[in-house]
Amino acid sequence: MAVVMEKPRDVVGGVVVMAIGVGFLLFGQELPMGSSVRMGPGYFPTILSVLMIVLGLLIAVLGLRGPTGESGPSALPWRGLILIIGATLLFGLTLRGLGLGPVLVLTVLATAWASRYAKLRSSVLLSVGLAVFCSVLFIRLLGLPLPLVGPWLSAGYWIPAATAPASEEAPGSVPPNTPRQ
Amino acid sequence: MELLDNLMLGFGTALSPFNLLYCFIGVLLGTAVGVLPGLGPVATIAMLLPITFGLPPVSSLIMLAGIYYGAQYGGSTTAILINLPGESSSVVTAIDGYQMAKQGRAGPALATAALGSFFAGTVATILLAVAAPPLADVALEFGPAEYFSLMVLGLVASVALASGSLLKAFTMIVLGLLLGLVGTDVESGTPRFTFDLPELADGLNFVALSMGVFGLGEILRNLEHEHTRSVMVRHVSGLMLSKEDFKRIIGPVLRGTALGSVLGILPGGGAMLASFAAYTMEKKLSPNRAQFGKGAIEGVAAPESANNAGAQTSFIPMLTLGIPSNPVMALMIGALIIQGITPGPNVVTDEPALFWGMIVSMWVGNLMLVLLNLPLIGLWVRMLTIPYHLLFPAIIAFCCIGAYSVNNNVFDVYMMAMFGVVGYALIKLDFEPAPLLLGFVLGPMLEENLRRAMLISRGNAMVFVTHPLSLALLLISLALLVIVVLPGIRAKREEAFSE
Repeated sequence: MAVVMEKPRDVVGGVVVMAIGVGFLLFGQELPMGSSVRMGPGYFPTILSVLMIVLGLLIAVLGLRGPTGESGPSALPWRGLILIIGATLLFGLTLRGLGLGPVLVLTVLATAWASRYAKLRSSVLLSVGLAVFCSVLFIRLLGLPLPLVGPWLSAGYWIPAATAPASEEAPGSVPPNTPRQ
Repeated sequence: MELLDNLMLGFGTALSPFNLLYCFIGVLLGTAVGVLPGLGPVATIAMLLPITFGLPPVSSLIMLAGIYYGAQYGGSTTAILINLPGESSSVVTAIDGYQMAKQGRAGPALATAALGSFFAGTVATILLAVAAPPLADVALEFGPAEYFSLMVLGLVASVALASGSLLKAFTMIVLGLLLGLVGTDVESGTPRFTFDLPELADGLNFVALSMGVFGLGEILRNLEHEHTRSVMVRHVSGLMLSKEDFKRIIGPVLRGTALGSVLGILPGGGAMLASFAAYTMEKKLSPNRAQFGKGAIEGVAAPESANNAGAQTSFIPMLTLGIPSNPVMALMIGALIIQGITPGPNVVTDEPALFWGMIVSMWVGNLMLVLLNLPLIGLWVRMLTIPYHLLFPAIIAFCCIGAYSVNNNVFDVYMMAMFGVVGYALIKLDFEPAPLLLGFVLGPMLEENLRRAMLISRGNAMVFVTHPLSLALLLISLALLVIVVLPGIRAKREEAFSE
């Protein structure tokens, strides 16, 4: 951990910090400040936001002054970033619909792909194994209220006319007893 | 004697089969996590927080605590055997420990680490039992001004005693404070920074934040430098210490324990600082100092005792004052809050079973670790061969499930993803994210005490200076800041952390 600050990185860092401070200031504008005796909800955040801006400024300025270290941040692992964050978001989006089992298989496969050492066979094995393990652990043993296989994967969700009683049901509408997400 | 009564209560609680089981799970997990590089107690505890909902508070704390000090044991194993410290507190152990292993003395090194840690753990437990209740009594005299100043001291100390740029660590704390304020302001009922999202009315989810920043962020960081570990492990035999070895380690163990206990209590302290300081001190004091760096057994004994003592005494400020001295304690406080227990001086008197049960179980855990680890070394070594690319998808899966299970709300999973990006961005910009957690936990408390102090003093900001204790705490913070910023000390600090 060097105290020597590398030039462009710290300038960027300082600017980001300042931006965060400004952001909090902006979003907290309508909060009443109150007086120092009865501090309103905006009092402390304002102090802190100003502090952030000052700190960010200091970091950026010191970053400009200091000796040049690396030429900049090393290359971002875009594949890893997109896969891992994307897989997490995917998890959230599809969890209730697909159920824990399928979602885990998908998520683990996607995230495993982020590593350059992943092989298809081991990843598939891992994803299935983890899906089984987590399902047993979380749903059976710890009682997490999640479906193992969700409603999207049951035919009844997609073809309501086939399973619902005829007459009142409009074609394509979901029968009332199917759980909505 | 009251202490005996309390200890009996503690033993009764800690030795129930249920709690023994969770203690075992904790130390086992902790050792495993300590052995595996890339996964630390912070991330693991964050991942297990959701599970603690369904458990009684004592059992959750026992398990989580076991993870923390268990990780200190595990980290030393890899440090000695393959020069790869699994934990930041084992970095120093690797210096002489690995040299000893190369000389065929891995067994004595491991035995020293285990015994030194056990001794330190016992002493620290006794300290906890003896010192904590009086400390809690003192803390009950604290008013809001004193609490505010104490928290300021804690935050300043954690910055001063941490490695890396002070300015950036401080920024992280302030950011954490700000993030902690998101949600509904308790006093006025006004929503702050919630963007009208109902899910944010209770504030940012602590678990989502910590798992995103420390779990996902760390994984992203590790993926940058991914490489397969080729582990060539030496065969370990002969775990017995010779008489001469034994005599040599007595001094370092005692000194390491003492130093570690003190440093652990300090806000900002903990296992890592303790081990570094103990190694440096031992090097200066030992008659065998020439051997340091070439396989001196004292170089293993001192830091290992210190890091265990530090890990356990860092519970003292958390349990008695409700103030976290390092990120792990911040997570413990989170766990307590989840259980509906407000940490503070009242815990000792309101929840005696919890308090004393925890203290006793720490000692029980240390015993388990000594008995288990030495025979199980082969198992841990084999675990090292698990490739990271099989491990991290599992971690991500656990994080996702964990984040969801807090409120049965997928919103928290999205939050976690967002904080993963934030955490990684911070790491790329060379900000260490650990102080963020401290700030996040302390933010609302800091504000509440500030408000109360100002209310009581009728707007007079001098109240922090006119109360003697508060003044003392603030002066210490100032002194710490000044000391650390002074050029002479600064250079020494860098030198200590650059090893």
